Amino acid sequence: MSPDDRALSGRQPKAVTSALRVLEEVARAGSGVTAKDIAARLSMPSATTYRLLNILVGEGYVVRLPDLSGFALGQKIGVLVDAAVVPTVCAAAREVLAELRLSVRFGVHLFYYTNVAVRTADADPEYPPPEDESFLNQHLYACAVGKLLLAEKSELESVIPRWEPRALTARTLVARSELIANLDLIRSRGFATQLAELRDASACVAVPVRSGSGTLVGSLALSGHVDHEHLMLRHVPSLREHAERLAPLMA
Amino acid sequence: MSGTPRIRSRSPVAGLERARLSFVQVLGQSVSAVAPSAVMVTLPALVIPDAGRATLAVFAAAAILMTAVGYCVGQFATRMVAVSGLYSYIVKGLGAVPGFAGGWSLLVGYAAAAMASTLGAASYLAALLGRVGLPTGSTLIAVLAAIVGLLALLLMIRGVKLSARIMLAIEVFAIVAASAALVVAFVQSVREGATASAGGAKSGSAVGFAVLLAITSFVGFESAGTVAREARNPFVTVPRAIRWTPIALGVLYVFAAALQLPEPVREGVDSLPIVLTLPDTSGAGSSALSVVMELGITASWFACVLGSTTALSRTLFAMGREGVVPTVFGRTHHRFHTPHVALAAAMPVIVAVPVVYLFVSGSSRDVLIGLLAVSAHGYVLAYVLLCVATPAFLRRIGELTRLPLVIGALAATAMVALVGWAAFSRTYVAGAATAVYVLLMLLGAAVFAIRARRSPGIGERMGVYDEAVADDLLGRYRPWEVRR
Repeated sequence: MSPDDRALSGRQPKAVTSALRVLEEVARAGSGVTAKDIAARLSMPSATTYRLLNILVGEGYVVRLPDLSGFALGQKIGVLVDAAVVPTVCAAAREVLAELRLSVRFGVHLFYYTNVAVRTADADPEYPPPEDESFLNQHLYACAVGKLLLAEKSELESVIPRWEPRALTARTLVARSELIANLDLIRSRGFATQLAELRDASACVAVPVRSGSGTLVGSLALSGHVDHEHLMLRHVPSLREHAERLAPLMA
Repeated sequence: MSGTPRIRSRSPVAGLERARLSFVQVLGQSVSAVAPSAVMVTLPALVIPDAGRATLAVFAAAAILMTAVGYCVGQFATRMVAVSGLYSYIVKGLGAVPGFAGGWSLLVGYAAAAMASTLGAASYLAALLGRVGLPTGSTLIAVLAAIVGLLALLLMIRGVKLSARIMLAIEVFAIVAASAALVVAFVQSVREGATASAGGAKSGSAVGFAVLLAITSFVGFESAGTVAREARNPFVTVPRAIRWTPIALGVLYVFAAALQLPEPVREGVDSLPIVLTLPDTSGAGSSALSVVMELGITASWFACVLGSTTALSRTLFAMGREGVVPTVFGRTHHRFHTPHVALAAAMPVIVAVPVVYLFVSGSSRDVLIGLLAVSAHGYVLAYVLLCVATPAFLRRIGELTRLPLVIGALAATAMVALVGWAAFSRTYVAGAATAVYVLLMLLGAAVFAIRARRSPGIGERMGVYDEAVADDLLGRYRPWEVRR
């Protein structure tokens, strides 16, 4: 690369390339790198570098450290990390799931959670879940695994910025107050249900999988026909027991 | 590399609401602390006798100078989320002692502005009640001032979001009302054959004084910095509000000044009216308009009480957290997340001082002018220190470039020169306001000396801001877990 190519300006659209370079350099240099260092390493005009850094800080991708001269990657990068990671289920966990699947006549699914989303880790091949992962994430308020995630948050807005739900069935919780009451129930009972809220005939019961420190990392769910609701609820103790066995294998 | 600097797990200003205010609400804080609608009907009338035809240029020059100060404030606001605005900025740039001087000076500025606004709101309210036959007098004004203070206090304790929303709505209403009244008065006078001329300027130094006076019509625009923690995307919204407010105000003031150039318009305006009255010849329609405008100005003064006291309380709160003032000021309300102790302590003073002053002097106009003059002193010193602090701060963190250095140096020099220039003018009397201001600054120095003696490491702790905490960094991030 010639020196001319590297002397990037702050103007559009090169600014995007420059900003990404700056971001990369902060990632590579590790916590505490200064703006001056970044400008020097990228051979970028210092005024441009400072401006780009301040934009990245403003957006939360980069954080200015308390000494005000050092930079580090910010939490916002977590959004990218969340999208990039793929849940992996180890062999020991698969065995636990296989054992559970032999003992019930419903679909048994394992989900992982990122901070704001549900990810399918192991779906039952025999009774596949009625909806795919992206549909669940769009309608967290209408599915059991989604409601477990929402129940974990102190503020609904951190996952659903604007409350504008779509009634998927006649039983979908569209009133914010109803959902909040439902989440309170989930917190007190320790498991979540979905009774014909996502699809007219489907039902689901989900129990949380928690790490040793108590944070929510995943959930174990049972899916079936809504008419079998009472039968599915009977399996909650067994689901909990299996979730406890899965916890050390997941977190 | 020495590794990561010490990262706290909790922000030093924790307790205040976080990420609540939209850009418009942040702008509301800045605009209301300025109270442009009240300024636009009063200040041109003060400036025109000194500046004459140069009035428009005077307001334009003041706008440019304040835009430069805004640029300097923006350098800090894009780099730190301070709850005490200029105070923390100056500490970070120049160190503890100049920082405290700037912060204290700003406290004086905010407090005096809030006092003047309380009295302004109460006087206009009294005048409005006078129209329906209530006897106006100092007692009525005193009662109304107490009511205004109490209402403002409740609103501000209840929450910054609520008060920011109310402030902007009030201010927009007031600006529209004042503009309408000015246009009517202007059209009226032109129809009567008055020429839009105001004669020449008195002298060079009078113009200098006029610019200084015009600057006071911008003060408060920097107060968006004091709600930074409470703003969403503070690094974006706060600098934007501070960058655009002086420009927008400049346009508004030049417009207002242009309308007031004909002599007859100002006749109704008086030199600094408590109540602006339109010429009687305007008829019944304009007396209705006068009422609307009076309502607007009352509301604007009230918004200014909210704006100035909000900024004042956040600065006091930060000083409380540092221990520069008693730590009790650093407490926040457990439910509303507002600095309720600082607010509750400041409000009685803000109401009592102008009321007592009013009973002593007997003229609400004198009180208003006196308080605004003290307030202006407070702001101007803080602005000068801030402009000097900008390049120093950027140099310290290794991000100094040419533009902030040039703008900071020029703006500081221009303001100091202006004060000097104005001091030579006959119009400028370094009177009671300057004396009061100097006394208050000495009081501040005494407070600081006492606190510094009691806890020697205080300089280290000064300049608190909403710094990055462990949770903000990616370093602690685990992809597979849900955070509360």
